Amino acid sequence: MFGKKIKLTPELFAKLEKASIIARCSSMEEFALGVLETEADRVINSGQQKDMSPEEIQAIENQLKGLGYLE
Amino acid sequence: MQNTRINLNFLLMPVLPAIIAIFLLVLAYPGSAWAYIGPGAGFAAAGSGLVLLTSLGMLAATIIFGPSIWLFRWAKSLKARKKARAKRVIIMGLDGLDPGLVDRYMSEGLLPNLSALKKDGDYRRLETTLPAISPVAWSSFQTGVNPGAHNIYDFITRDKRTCLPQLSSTKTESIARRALFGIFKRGDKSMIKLLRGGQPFWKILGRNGIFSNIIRVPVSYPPEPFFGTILSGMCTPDLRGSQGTFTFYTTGSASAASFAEGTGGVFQRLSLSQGAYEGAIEGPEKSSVPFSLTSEQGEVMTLRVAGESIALKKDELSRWIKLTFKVGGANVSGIVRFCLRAGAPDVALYVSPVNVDPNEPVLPISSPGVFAKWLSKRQGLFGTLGLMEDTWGRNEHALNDELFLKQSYDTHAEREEMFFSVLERTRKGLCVCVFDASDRIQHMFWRYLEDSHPAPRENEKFKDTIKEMYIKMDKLVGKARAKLDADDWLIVMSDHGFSSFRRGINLNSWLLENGYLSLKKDADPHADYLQSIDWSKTRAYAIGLAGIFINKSGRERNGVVADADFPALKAEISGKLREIIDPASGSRAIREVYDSEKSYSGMYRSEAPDLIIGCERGYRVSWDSVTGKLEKEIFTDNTKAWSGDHHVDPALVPGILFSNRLFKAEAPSILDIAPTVLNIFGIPAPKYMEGAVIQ
Repeated sequence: MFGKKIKLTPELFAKLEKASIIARCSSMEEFALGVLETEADRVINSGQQKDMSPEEIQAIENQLKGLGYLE
Repeated sequence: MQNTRINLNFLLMPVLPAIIAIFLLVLAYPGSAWAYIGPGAGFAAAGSGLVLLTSLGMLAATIIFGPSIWLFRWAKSLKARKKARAKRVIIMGLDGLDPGLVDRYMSEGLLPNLSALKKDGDYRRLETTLPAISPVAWSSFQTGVNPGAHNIYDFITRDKRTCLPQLSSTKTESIARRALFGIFKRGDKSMIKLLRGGQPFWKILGRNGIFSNIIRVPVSYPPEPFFGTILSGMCTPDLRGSQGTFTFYTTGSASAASFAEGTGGVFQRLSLSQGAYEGAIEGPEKSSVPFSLTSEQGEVMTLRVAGESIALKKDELSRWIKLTFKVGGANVSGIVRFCLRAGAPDVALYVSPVNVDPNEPVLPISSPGVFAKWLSKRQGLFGTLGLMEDTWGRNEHALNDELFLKQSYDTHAEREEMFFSVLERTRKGLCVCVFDASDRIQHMFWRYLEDSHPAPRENEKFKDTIKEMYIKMDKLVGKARAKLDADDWLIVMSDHGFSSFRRGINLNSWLLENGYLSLKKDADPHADYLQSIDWSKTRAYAIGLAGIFINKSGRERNGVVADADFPALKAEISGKLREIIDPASGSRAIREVYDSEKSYSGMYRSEAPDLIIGCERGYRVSWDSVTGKLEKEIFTDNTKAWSGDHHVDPALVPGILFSNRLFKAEAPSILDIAPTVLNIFGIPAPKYMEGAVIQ
């Protein structure tokens, strides 16, 4: 419920705080989470060139179905 | 070396009472920025005894901690209220109300209430976002930042790994379910995550003890807990997980082409058994609820569904009917409306998308969770889908103009009722409500404003529908004005204006013709989602409404454009696009092409399309281009009922801003609303907000 925690050095903490202001984030946590997520996705997906199965394409179509701007 | 901890779930607050308050909110309102989707895990948990235990725990915690939280909030609000310049701030969002039409109708004396607001207070044009699309603009409204800092650029974005589209506002993720304090893994569960960055200004108000009631602001699903109530708006799904799937049932005599998967709906056959026409309404996880129709006299049929017997008259929309779907041993409640489109023997029946039942919501449509229930107890069942007005139902002729209009105004009436209910109970603080009918009606009836529009008109009696809608919105404003106290601040605004959509531009077809995009050998160019593209030879592609992505090396799945070539390629494509001439009219189709690196700032800037297209009036990215299909022609007529749009250059479609008090700013922007409201309540705007306080 209270989420996982990671330890940061004060120097990195201060750096993140500064970067979050430059990046117009509403909080340092938003910046830290965003950076971690982007980088984690990049590493995990590195080299993966995924072709979608018909079922996966169908799932996307279903999710977008009814969105007025899309045919 | 001393280490500093950060909490990854925003749960650490500097003050102990705030920790307690957040803890209780989390306990009380499980539907937060993370929430269950899909029937499996969520429904099973809802049916378990844990709910009872949690409720008892919540009750005990409320009794123990409630008074201290209340005292803390009261003290905070006292500080803010001393500096506040209004007791209540009321924001009425009239989606898509266009300043050009407002000016015209005001000059004709048709909008007395808006004219009075202008006379007694103020009226300005409100600069919108790039691009001028509702989810983008309302996200900037909420957060006070540009799209680069809130991450919403369009309704859809692309998955960089697959180049396929996905909703821009939410993402589904699988995470491990654990038991016994996280020791044992119990399989996976699907969670939905709000992708909009930044934070709504009502969260800041809440931290300062100011209570807010927020109704149907787009891109608020799943709702984030804060000191106030919120009902989710645009992008809230139906029970099938889509943005709204209607079903159209007919007997076999309808054309074979009708029995197919429609764009916004499903077409199904009715079977005839012992004089009754039978079908089944599909719910989540392939569950269904059966129904039957029997003929009565004339154009009346009796519908038997979910233990109810309802007389359906031709072309009359039924009230909301509750359906219970059996999913994994749990009951899932949804609501639908029926409309008999043709009686026997060629029966045709329209069934609306299956909305989440607000009285028994299985998805987190409000925060706290009981808010939707409270509204439902007060006013009865109401639609909860993000896009309530069934535009695809009309495009695909499951509804006609008359029924679409009726459905839109019924939804509007529900919204109006909940707005005034909540306004009545907002004795101090913020009250925001977004009304969508103004946007949808302009999308669908714009063709009646222009004789030259290529989309067919159904009946000339609708030629004044848009004008009548503006008059209706004006009356709504008048009703709200009558409820104002002397120390209230009323803001009436729209997120963007409106324009015609006569011609579509297929950006992918243009890229192909100009050598920036290549097709696979023998591929079907009309395949959805860019499936026909040869990525090894493609330098740029388009998906969604907003613009063009460069197939950049190291970023895209099969990127081929080197970093060094990136700026020059963008400049080259932009230059050529600005010169596009529509052969049918001989005029320019694109007013401006914006480089997203120069237009946006913030941590999400790299997620934006590289080039944002600003069309001239009358043009929009074509229907096929949005989903990544190619067409033979670059330009095509738009013959759909969806005949008006606002995805043109933002300079052409500003919104409106009315206030019952004087604003001094000459050119206010939608980004200014958040800091302005904070300022009205005496709270300084955070530094990350870009908007200026409208003095």
